Amino acid sequence: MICLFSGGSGSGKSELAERCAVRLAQKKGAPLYYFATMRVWDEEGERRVQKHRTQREGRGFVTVESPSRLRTDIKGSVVLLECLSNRLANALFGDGEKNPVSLIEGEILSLSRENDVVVVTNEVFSDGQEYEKETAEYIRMLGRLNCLLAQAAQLVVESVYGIPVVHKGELL
Amino acid sequence: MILVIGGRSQGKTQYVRENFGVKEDEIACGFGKNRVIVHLEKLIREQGAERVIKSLDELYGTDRIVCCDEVGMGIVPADAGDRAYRDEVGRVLCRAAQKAERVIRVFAGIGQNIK
Repeated sequence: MICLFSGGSGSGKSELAERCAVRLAQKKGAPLYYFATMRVWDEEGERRVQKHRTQREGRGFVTVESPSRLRTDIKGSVVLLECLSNRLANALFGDGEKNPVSLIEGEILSLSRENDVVVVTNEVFSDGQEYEKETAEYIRMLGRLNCLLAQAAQLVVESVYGIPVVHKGELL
Repeated sequence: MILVIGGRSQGKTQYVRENFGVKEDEIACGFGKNRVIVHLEKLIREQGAERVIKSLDELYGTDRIVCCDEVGMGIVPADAGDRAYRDEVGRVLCRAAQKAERVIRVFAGIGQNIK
């Protein structure tokens, strides 16, 4: 099963997704993995990672650093992937993957056959700015991935400052 | 307190005028006697998140209405200050949304009650 959580910066989407993952794991008594996609470059990145670590402390997550290709050999677990926007940025700009959208869609669909996968993505589509080619392509790809995953997902939630706005399915 | 959020220029103030019988002199961008506070995002930029959080704490449980732009729905800005600002607005609004009695999101002039 796939659950998709989206929202802008500071919208509280991580917190909602984490709670969902914890509930899923408790229900099935399943192990809980946290796929951390962020590559840390500087102190600001370090602070961001630390904030998220503190937030999920004591919730039973096993952290798997996942800046590049995702582990797909996990079974019978709940996987929280945070976040799709970093996973795509790393695949496109860092690893130079030829077809990042199909690659990442494939990874997540494959994981979701044997696990519950909670995916955090990002709303980057509404600032009305014109971007250079690379960034415009990135936005298009993330939008496409969001559509593909929303189609496959049983639950699609947008976090609006911590309030879950459900676009598809029902919150547990 | 009622929190009204939405993208820029989505008609939040107009929505408040039409739906809550607010007079023009009751609307201001500041924490005064005004019943409606507009452009909270500007106050966060000018005064900082902590001061705004303190001012908002006085308003829960009252008939005040607070309007704020949603600002985090774009590509992460290159400037560190711009990045921090978006996070600060998010932090203030997550708390405000939790404590407000009602939260309304205005999209193209249409208000959706999300809490």
